[in-house]
Amino acid sequence: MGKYINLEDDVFSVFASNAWKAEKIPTYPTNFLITGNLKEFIRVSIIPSGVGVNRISVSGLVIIDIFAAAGESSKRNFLIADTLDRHLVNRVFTTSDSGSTQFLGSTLSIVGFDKHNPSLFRASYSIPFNFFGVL
Amino acid sequence: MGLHKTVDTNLSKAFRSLKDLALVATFNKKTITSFDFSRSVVKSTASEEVTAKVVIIHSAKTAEDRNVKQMQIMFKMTDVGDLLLFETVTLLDEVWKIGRHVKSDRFINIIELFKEG
Repeated sequence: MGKYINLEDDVFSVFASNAWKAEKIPTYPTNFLITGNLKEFIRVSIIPSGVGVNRISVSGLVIIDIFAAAGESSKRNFLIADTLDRHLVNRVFTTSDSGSTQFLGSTLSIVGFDKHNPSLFRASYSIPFNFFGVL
Repeated sequence: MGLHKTVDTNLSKAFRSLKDLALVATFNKKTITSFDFSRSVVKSTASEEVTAKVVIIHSAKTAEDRNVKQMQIMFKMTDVGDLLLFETVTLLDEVWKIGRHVKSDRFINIIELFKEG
């Protein structure tokens, strides 16, 4: 398979793991129709916008939107970001023989009340990655 | 009879009076439950088909980035129930994706439909 789908498999493997499921944070990919009356959830987008070390490698950012209850400070957003750090920062994931994805350090920015649903408060968690493809 | 029932009955009468201006549309409704990250697939429950009379109140074809057909349809809320973004509607032998809800109240729903044109 190609580098992009291998990268996606590596990133998604984090959220498919039992360790992540045990955190009980509803998690969805981008371009997914989220339904139900959720009080908090995260949405994962992979932006493979940087070059890699060879033609089957790529670098970029994983951006995770964190939605938590509005009116209750940013504490829950920060707690979820710390939880993401525990699962991602400086970790390496490999789901195929074709390569591995290495995560670096994260950053968090506060977006504010969600413009589509102001009952949710939104923060944006970013973590850079390198996907190393094996030639 | 309560006022809600009275309004609903009169709306049904109004749709019947429209005769062939009210078209039959099939709404394909599915309940999405979650996303399976291990297989990269959407987990959804079985879909349900609902047939209802609709009225096309606006139709357009844009040619900006590319050709996109757009339509606004009106139907009775009690005929169809709640709809989700990206569910589909079969109308005039074409399958459309549901977009924005333009107007919704307890009686009438007006929604936008889209497809590549």
